[in-house]
Amino acid sequence: MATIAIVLVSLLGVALLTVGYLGLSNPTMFRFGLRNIPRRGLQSVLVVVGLALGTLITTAAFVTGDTVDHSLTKDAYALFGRQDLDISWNGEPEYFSDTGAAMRGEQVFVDGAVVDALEAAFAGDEAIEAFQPMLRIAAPVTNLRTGDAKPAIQLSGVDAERLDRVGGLTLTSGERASVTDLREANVYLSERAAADLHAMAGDGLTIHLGDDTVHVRVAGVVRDELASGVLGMSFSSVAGGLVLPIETLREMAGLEGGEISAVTVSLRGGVRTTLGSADAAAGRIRAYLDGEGAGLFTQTGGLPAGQPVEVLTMKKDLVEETQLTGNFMTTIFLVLGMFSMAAGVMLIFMIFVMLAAERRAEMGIARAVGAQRRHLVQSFVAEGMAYSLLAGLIGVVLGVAASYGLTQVLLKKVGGDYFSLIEMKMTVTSVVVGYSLGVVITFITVVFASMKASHVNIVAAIRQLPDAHAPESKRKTRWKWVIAGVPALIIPPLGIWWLFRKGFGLAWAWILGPLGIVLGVLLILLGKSSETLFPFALGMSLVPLSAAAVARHLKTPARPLWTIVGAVLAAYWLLPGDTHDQLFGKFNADIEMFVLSGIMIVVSFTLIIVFNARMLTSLFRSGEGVKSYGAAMLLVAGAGASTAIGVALGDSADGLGELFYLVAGLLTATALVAGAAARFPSLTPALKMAVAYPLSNRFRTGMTIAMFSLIVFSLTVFSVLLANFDTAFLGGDARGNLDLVVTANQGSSVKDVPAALEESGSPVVAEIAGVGRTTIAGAPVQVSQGGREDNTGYYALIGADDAFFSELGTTLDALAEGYRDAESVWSAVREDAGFAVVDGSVVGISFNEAYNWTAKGVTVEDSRFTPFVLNVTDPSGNARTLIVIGVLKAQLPGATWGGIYVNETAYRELRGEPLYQRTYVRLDEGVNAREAARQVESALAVRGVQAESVQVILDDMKAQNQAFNRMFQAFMALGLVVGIAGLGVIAFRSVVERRQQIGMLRAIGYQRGTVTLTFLLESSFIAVMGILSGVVGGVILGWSLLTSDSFTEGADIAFAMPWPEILLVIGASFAFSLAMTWWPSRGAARVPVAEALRYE
Amino acid sequence: MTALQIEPRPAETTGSPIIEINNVVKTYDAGSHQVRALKGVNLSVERGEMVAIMGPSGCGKTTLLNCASGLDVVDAGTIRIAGSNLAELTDKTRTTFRAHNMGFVFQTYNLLPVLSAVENVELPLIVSGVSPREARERALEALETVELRQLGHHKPSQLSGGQRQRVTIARSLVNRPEIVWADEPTGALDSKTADDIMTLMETLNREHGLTFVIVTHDPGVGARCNRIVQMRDGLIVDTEVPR
Repeated sequence: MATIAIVLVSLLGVALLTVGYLGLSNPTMFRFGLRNIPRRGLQSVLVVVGLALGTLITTAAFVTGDTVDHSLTKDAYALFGRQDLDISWNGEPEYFSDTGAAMRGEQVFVDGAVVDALEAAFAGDEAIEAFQPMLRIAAPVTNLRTGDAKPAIQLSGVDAERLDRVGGLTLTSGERASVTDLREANVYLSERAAADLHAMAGDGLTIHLGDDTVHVRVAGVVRDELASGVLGMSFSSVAGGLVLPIETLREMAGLEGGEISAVTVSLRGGVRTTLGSADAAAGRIRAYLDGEGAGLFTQTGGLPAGQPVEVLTMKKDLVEETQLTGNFMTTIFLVLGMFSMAAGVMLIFMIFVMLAAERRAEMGIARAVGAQRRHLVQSFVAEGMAYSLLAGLIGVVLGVAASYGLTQVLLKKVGGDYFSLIEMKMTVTSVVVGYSLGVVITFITVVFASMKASHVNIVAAIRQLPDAHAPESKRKTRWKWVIAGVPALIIPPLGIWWLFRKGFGLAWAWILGPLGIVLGVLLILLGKSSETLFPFALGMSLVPLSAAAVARHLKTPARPLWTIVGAVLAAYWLLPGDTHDQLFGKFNADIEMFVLSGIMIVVSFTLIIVFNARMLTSLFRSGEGVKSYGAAMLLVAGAGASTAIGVALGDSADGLGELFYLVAGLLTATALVAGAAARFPSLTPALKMAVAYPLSNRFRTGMTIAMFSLIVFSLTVFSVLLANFDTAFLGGDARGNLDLVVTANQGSSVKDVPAALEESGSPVVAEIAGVGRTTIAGAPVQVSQGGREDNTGYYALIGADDAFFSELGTTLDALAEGYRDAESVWSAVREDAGFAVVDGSVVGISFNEAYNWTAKGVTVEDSRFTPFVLNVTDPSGNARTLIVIGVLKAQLPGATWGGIYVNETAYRELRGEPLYQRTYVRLDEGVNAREAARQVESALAVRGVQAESVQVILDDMKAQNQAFNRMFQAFMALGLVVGIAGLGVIAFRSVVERRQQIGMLRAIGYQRGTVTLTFLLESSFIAVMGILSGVVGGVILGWSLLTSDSFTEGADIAFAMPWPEILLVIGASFAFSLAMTWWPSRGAARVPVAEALRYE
Repeated sequence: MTALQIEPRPAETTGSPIIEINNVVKTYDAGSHQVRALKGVNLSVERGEMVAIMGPSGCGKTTLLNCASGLDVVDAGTIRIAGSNLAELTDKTRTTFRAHNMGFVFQTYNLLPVLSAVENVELPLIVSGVSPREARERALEALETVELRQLGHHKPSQLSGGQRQRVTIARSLVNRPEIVWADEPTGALDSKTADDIMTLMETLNREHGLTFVIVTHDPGVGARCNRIVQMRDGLIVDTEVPR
């Protein structure tokens, strides 16, 4: 980031020096440029707003990244406090997951004597200050004052003296909390546990440990951290903690003495200053455990042989992970922001071309009296730089404000508790990068736009005649430029310009066309050989565009040529993914394809529109009686047919019917306009003009349509994908027929949930339709893939009882070939210890936060896959081969469901007797799962049993996703401002350009309202074309992606249109456009008639 | 040249003024100073008359035409058109009044480039609420009057300067106005085409009794009118009958 900042500040410096040089070398043209700024105040405001957008987007992206990074990092430091390293024999805890690191498997205790040995071994270590023995046991706790009970408060036994030596705990008031000073039967409660139990200092608590209960008193409430028993970040769902001396906890739990479940290491330094020494310190401990202290944990600690002991740099890892998340957010925002930035660049270009059009006469005069083209460029650059420096400042302020709105309002306020850790933060680097990037992009665009604008035909400009567009001709060769151009090819654009244009005098079409074709072919070959879609698809697009540029130069008629190119591009980019795979082979693609596909689809649609939309005027007929309604009736018939096809298709054909509904909607809207023209003949000329006028200037209309289209496209694709993923992954079928997941603490006396419920007299037992039990993921087993033995890793093994396979009717996402349905898969696993079912992460269709090993070469297509073999080895050395024949619903969170599911026999062979801590419940039809979970917990909480509704878990995930999505969508919607500002610029310009016509219309009888309507219709046409092309392109691309196995990784998604969101995008975009153009349109109506007729 | 169904009016003047301009004053604000474009102009034009207003640049010719036709408002004085006092009309009624009673011909044609010739001509009728079928018929008749019916579906860009000016004349006739205001109607035309256009206007004046008020620099145009009004410095300084 610092390097980027230096580069950008340098580029900004170059830009400023260039402008400074222009100012000093030619102050007249410099002033000429600057004095144009106040000439049209309102237009200048629009220009600044348009130019500010780039800086706004980049600043918002960077500041949002800062905020996420800062919030998560701060939370990570708060979680660990002075605990830096973790010596773990119970697997690697996953602190960054939503479920935190608690409740992950059976705990194995070792003797605390290992800590004394470690302390002795590292007594003189330069970095290691202390080893902290910890004993953590989850147990139910009841608040005697309020009656609130929680089934799994993490009891955290700490060595008081050792902990106090590194600072102890901190009360919520900020004061130090010493565990040494705790009196008998007193405990500290973590903030999270206090909130859960509605407890405060002085409250009495009952801790339920097995059949025993212990009464304690809350001495104080301490901040949530690892030492206070909180094993996850503030957004996670981990339980709160309760702190007490380790000896007291051992006594309570009936342990014989000396047991610990974890060892953490405190390094010398402060909370935030130890990351640099973490790796080296961990390395020294590892080296000791591998050498001199090799038998420490097994011999002194009593750890079973073969169970690995890991030294984890937990604080450093988590802080780095949070920083990566912050960077990832910045990247995502920048990628999504590229749509807006691309639109912004177009706007800047268009603004300057239009400013040039407005000043054409005076530019002609300037040229007539001796100004060179470069002088005009200089004056435009001076003006543009003044705009962009000011716009950059405004953009930074707006970017920070946008970031505040996105993170503090949309995420924190609207998103709920999950996002409560979000705290606004911006760094100077981000602001500098945001400002510099915005200004540099603007500067470069302004230079190019100025070069284009400086081309004026002096006579035509002075006399206000249209420019004659004579095709460029070949000029004679100028050898000095050829000689200069060859070495300049090191900077390709400069070399090409000098060598081919200035040197050989070739027309641009003859330079760029063949060059584009060659580049396109090379990109296609590169993409094909590297199996990367980006260069391949870019090449496939460059070739027709470049070929068309040459064909146009050879006088091929523009309309059919560009229409064909547009159609070819549209056909390629909207090709269903599977068809693309069949035609061109499989490619790898990432998020950058989103941006490229957007740009290309928008280019293709815009070409088709600007060269063909004039045909729409034939729909507006009047004066032929019933015949005038012909077009409208034909369109209605088309809409009816489209609807009928949509209904007939229903959910079949991958949801293609939804696209027909969209077509029906478009035809209906067009029919309404055609009908209005027939019914109200006085509208007809206005409607014709609304279409014809914008199309008389294809460049600026095309640019504005493209701007709108690009933003609407991005919003639409995003909405379609998210809505469908939400529905598919978190919808009705996502829970795989499971209603409740009930988990008992390790020491809980509840072994049979229905029996325990019956015993407690809970009525919920009568509503249970099926029950199955599993172990929970403990220390991982080693896995290797059959036939690909190099693909090895660690994964969770889960054993299940017979009922789990036969009673629950759990549905699956994918079945191995040869199996009829989920039931036959479950039945096979139940009966044969050689079979297994895995969660989606193993085949790459979902993500398991704890274990991310994935089988290679397994693809799921249409919910089917070829069965594959896993070789599984337990740490104790037991091994067996399993054949995977089913995949769980991908939507079920990996933290709970992740694992290789085997029957009791297989589990016993690998791991020994299973401890079934988790019970899955299928309820009777119609029973409220949330209420049932509450009843289970209320009956069994004090026995250490927690129950959750699977649907509630999925709904919570959905809500969190939606909060993020809302933020992303709001960010992308910022780009709409670009489109709207562009439309405003055009509208103002149209009024200026057509003042005389306005005067004439008023002279022959147009009322003011009719003039306003005429201009509004024109702007509406541009906006509607942009919005609809974006929506149509976005929906078709969304459909094509969602029905492609390579995109959905085999998940079967029934395409559904998010109509409310789509209509909101259309409605909001159109409403804002109308609001923007109403002003200039009203201004048009107020033009004094006589003055307008005189105007030149 | 007789296709237009304009209500026949006697070719000679009727003796009743259709335009009465009394003591009209018009001042423009030019930022740092005020410009008195009309300093108390009096003029009366008889029905069926063809009047040319001439004078040097900046003398107030176009301002007088704009004020008299209701395109602009006056600061003092009264203007009556066919008995109606323009000052008493709102913007809306004045616009409607123009649509029903007046036609305009401008030097720069001011045709809408995106509409065809016949669509340009029928535009005043469409906005006046005439049925589309009737508007189209009358527009074609008007084009026939100016001998351009066969080019009705051409866009202005496909017509010559003279043809474009004929289209604007057809547009000015299509609502069967009593007065046609023309501001430098031949200013952008070569002498042959200008002559044709003047012949056309003379015919319309003679055969249909249309009243023409023509602002021009061209003495040849003035010479073909019934009367020439000379202006200087915002005042009418002379009136002459050329023939």
